[in-house]
Amino acid sequence: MASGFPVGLRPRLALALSLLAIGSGGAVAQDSRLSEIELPDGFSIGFFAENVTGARSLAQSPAGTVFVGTRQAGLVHALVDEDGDGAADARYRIASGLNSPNGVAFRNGSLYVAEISRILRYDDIENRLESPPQPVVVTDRLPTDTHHGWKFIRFGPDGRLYVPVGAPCNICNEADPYNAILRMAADGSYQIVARGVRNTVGFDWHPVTRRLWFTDNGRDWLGDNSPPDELNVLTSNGQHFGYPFCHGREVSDPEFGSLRSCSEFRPPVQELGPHVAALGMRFYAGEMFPERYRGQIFIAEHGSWNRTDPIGYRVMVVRLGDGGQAAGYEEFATGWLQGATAWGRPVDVMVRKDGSLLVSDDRRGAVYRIVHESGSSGDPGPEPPPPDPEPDPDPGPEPPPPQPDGPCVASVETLCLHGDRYEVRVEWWTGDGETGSAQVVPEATDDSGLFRFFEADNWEILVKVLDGCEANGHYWVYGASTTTLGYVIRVRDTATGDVREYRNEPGQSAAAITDARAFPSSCP
Amino acid sequence: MVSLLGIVLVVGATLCFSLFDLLRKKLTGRLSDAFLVMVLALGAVPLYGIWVALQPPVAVSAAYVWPGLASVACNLGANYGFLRSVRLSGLSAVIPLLSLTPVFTSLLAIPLLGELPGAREWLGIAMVVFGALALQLGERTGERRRPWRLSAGAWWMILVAFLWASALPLDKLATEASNAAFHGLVLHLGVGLSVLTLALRGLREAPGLRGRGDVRAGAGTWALLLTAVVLGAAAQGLQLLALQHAWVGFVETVKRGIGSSLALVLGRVFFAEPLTLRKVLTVAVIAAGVAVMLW
Repeated sequence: MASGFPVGLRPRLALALSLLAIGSGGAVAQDSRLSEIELPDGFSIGFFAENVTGARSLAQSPAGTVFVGTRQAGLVHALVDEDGDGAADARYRIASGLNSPNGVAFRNGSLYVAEISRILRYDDIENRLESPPQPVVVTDRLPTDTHHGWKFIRFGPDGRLYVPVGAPCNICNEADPYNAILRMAADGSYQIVARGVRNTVGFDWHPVTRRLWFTDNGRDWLGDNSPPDELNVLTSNGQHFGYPFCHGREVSDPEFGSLRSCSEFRPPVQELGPHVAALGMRFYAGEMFPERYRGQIFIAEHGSWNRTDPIGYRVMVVRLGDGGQAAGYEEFATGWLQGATAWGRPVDVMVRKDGSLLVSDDRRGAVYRIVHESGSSGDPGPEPPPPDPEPDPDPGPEPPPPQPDGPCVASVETLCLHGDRYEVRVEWWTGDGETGSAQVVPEATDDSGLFRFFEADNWEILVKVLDGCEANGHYWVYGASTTTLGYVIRVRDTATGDVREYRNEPGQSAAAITDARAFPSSCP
Repeated sequence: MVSLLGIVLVVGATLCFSLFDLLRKKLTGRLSDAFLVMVLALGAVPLYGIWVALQPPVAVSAAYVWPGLASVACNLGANYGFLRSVRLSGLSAVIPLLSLTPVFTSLLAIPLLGELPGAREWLGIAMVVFGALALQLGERTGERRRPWRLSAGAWWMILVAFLWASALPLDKLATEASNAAFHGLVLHLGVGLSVLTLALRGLREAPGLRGRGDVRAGAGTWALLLTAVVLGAAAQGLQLLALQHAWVGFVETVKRGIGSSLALVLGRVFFAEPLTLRKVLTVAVIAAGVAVMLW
């Protein structure tokens, strides 16, 4: 099944042919069509590798080997830049005959490959590039639907493999695990972390908040300019992003929109172009590019197929504001689309160790390398954050994002009481490991507030902070819940930094909280 | 010559079937397939019960058992497949494929009954198959035009057409061994109880006997369900009456022609499905093919 490349040739001959094909004159091999690619000043583009049939998703090992998934070709490629000049000079066919092996991920020496319904693992792959091992089947229980069945996969900061399961249709309301992103353990068991996701083919974790950002492709046949594709952020497990009821921020679906309102769902942080087919995305974690690109999001847009005038076929940048919110959406690399004809289709982006940006193209069958003049020599430079963090054997509930000192700032997940004095947050979890942050119910007083876990009208927890200073010289925390899920209520006195926690384990009926001595040092 | 009453009955049955299809597609967004099959089947049982009660006592012979049970199995698969199909694909893309039912009936008659279609029937079969393929092939359901690949919904609907075609001779044998009212009652009761049994035993969609999970089955959903049950029964009843006033070829031709055309319109109006010239032309070819085959 697996063999070196080109098939039937000895590795040295293959290497020589590859060098001829790629060009050995430096970091950026040139091609006449590449001159059509427009980039910001100071950037240039070349081939990291040509003749990479059907190049789709990208992954890299800590040693720098680039793995490339495909769809129709059924192949998985490995590309190695042995001399560090920024162009692959050896390549290998890791697998062939697979069923749309679009997704690739690397962890602890193993290559993971996502087919339509299976996840495969090739152990010790870097030492066996020329003779890959038989794969271990991590799971073969994913749906077999081919519509949106190809998968992008990556390991998260929690050491789990994140696997999307797309909608098996253009627009339909299918039950779990469809329209979702799964978090998979080593044994193939999984939890659903995001729902209402039509078809995501690219995601990454914010380097600071470690939150999951992902693209999502909007439905078809609602007109040339609707709906938009989406860039989303998962802030707590189990959130619903709207599909099939709502598209973008406010496009109610003509078939399902009457069932649920757009206000019930987590909206995208950035609406992308309509039908652009936003696929791969990465935060730029390198240092080659100028400061204005660092920490920003690069998105590969595969290009529209059901729009009168084609759109997409480019690499975009989503700019983030000071608060980490999406603040702009602009072109970075264009030119694959000439008139109404596209000679290339970007699929995935990935930041190399040297800070260059790789872009895969499944139409041209290529992996491009975009460099900035400040670092185009091929000098590896400092390493970006490691692509595959060490696993956490039992991640459990995701820790809350770091809370800044200072007064309470109200948000969807943060309740402020007594003005901005007391900050209340709630994390919940189920017995089988699903977790999330509770959401604040809008109805609240200055003393009391409510939290929900799931639906907007299904309230779970009441928390009160009462001024009992005159009675016993304390601020009191009272509360009650109507859930048997596990949870922890954290109440922080922002004036003193004191924190009180009130917990319940899954399956338990929580007793009412009547802590009349919660904050003894808080009284004026 | 078809009487005016016959025409009215056929058109009425067709309209009811089209609205029944529309409601079933709407309901697939709210309820599981298993639940829908069960409720739509069991919901019609009282109506068939009344019909049986109004009939003279029926003598059911032992010859009823096997064709009756086989028909239940066919209808169970067909009803489930229908819902899968309209869930995954647009009405306008899959409802016209039901015109393959008389095609399968004719083709099944070759090995089962030794009846070879004549030249006109072959021409009609060719037109229907050509129309069905032309409707599907080239339909862009994804970013790549895959000329020889049918959508998942289309495969389900072709299966439905085959199962309904297979059920026809079984129904004929079953009604000969009982009567139409009794067999209709058994069919609906059998399909509904089969799903209930399978679900309760956890063999398929055990948690499926409820709403979609992310959609609350409120009063509106139950109203749709009730309307669907009534429309389904009305469609069946009108069709049975129409068959007494018009010959089968006429009924089937009108049903497929108007039904397919309405699927294009309803899909466009209710589900924003694209309405293209190619769809209109292929549906016309399909309807003409059914007419050529059956008249």
